[in-house]
Amino acid sequence: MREIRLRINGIERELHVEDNETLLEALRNRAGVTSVKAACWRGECGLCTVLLNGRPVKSCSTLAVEADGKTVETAEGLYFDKRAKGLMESFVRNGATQCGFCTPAFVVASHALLLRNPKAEDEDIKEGLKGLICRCGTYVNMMRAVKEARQYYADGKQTA
Amino acid sequence: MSFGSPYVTLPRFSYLRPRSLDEAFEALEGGNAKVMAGGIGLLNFMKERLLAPSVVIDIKGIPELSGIRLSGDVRIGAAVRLVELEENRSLELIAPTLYRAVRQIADPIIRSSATLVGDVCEAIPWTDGPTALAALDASASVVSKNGERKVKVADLVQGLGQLAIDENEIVKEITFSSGYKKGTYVKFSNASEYALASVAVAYSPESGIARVSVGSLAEKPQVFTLEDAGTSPDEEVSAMIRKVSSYIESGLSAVDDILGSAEFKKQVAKALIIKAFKEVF
Repeated sequence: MREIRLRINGIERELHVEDNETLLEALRNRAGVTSVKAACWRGECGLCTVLLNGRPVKSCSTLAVEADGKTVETAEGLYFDKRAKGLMESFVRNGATQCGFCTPAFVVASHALLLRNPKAEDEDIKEGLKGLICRCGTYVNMMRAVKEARQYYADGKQTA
Repeated sequence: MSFGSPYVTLPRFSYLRPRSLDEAFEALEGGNAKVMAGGIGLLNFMKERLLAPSVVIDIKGIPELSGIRLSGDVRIGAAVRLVELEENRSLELIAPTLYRAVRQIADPIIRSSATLVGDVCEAIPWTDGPTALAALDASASVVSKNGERKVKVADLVQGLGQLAIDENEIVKEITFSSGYKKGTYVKFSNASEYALASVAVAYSPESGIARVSVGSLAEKPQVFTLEDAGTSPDEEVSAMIRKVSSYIESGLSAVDDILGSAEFKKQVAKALIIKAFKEVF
């Protein structure tokens, strides 16, 4: 076991983790962050996507020890970001969730996408979200939701 | 959550994060160690229990392995993630062949973690990096405590899972000439991101030489050179395409694999040649 210190959704945390533990396991089982979903475990479905030092990464393909000293943001924390909250509400308005299992990851990835490119068009959104899978197939509504949420990101400022 | 089961969780190992190449060489001495950069490929192989190293050496903390240099020869360190290449718009002008290939590797979230050197060292015949780098005639610097040697990227990948480096060596960086100012990378893939066939073209307007690399047909990229390629009138481009197509038909090897039959893959490669040449010339 080794101790890592990281900032999860703005809160300093100390976690005891194994060397062979993924960030996904540490977040769900040790930090209680359950919006981060475990599905394919091999970097294909993208439902474990979190922001690591502001960049979207697949937490199943990242070791917990690699997150030592870094910041992790997930859907729970993004709720307190004004723009991301607008994005989430846009998901609801547009019926962009069906079973809801993939929603937190799509919100995290869309948030990262809109921060980088607040003017994202259809092609940018398709490309930006292509690493995530929604098995209900709500892609059309999600596209509409992300486009509608561009208004909240227009000022181009970074998250706190 | 299924703790401890194969396919989803990792076998036990000790994680090391050396601060210098010397520390990394020392860690490699112990044997049964694997070098990790982005970890995307390695961790998947380990979950599948295809690899079970007792030590994983994370090289991202070694300063010499980071950084992109674009003046003179292009140099890309082993710890440089694909996203850093993608965000470097100068690379697009200096080496469009590589830039376009990078943008087609996996997906943007994977590219935030994965590295170019890792894409090569995974030694999978259907990945994009080696094909583009072979067109650019790129070399890899391979280091160990006994010194440094250069290997052409085209010779580094010998086949599926086979990399021409020793257990105690580390790929430090990739270098190539900045002369190939024109070029492109096109691929055709099915539902996976792996290419069924891919074509990289690297063209130097100064020398008139174009290097063409065809990936995914066989175990490793196959490269050939066109002299006096030149930006020519349309009928000459068509003649060049015809010549290259017949060369693919008769001169390149192809194997049947899970992505398609040899014959089908060759036909796809020929279609990609037309697309690539129309972009470049």
